[in-house]
Amino acid sequence: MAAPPVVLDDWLLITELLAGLPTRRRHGGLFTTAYWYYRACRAAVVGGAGRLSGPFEQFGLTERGAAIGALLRLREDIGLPDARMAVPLMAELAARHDRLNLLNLEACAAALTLGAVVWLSPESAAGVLPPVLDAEGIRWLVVRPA
Amino acid sequence: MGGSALIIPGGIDVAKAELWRVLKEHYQDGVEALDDPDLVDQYD
Repeated sequence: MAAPPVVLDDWLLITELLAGLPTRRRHGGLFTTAYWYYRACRAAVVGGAGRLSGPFEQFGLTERGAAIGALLRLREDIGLPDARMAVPLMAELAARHDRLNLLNLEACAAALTLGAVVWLSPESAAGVLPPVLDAEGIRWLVVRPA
Repeated sequence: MGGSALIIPGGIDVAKAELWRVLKEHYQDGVEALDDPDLVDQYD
C-alpha cells in the first residue's frame, strides 16, 4: 500500500528547507499550506533578521529579509493544495468549527483534499488543531525536529 | 528579491546553517510577534 502524502506545518517546513527533517518515515510526497508557508516566511524574518550574524552581518534588515525569503523559497518537490479544491472545504469546515482561524482551516482542508497525514511540530500540536483533525477523521502525528 | 541577486558570503549552505541556528531559538518569538489572529496557534 502506497504511503500517503504529508502536510507539514510551518516549523517542520522550515526544518526541511534548512536542515532536513529528522524522520525517515515513508510518505507519498511533501506538501504544506499557503498560510503555513506565509507564516514561515514572515515569522522567520521577524524572529531572525535582527539576530543573524556571520555571513549576514554586512547586510541591513531589508536585505536580510530578502535573503531569508530566498532561503525559504519553496522547493519544487514540496507541493501546495489546489485552492479550487481546498477553499470550498474551508468554507464547510468553518461551519462545523466556527472559531477556527484561516491557518487551521486551510490545514484541515489541505489534508482532506490530498488524503494526507498532517505532521505537526510540538508547538502546533499543543493547540486546538489536533482535536479538530480527529473530529474530521484526519490522521496526524507529532514530529520533533532535531 | 526582485530582479537583483543578493550574494551571501560563504555560500548558501553557510547561510542556511546560520538561519537555522537563529530560528531554532527565535522562530516562535517571530510567530508571537506577528499579532495576526489568522496566523496564531489557537489554544482554546
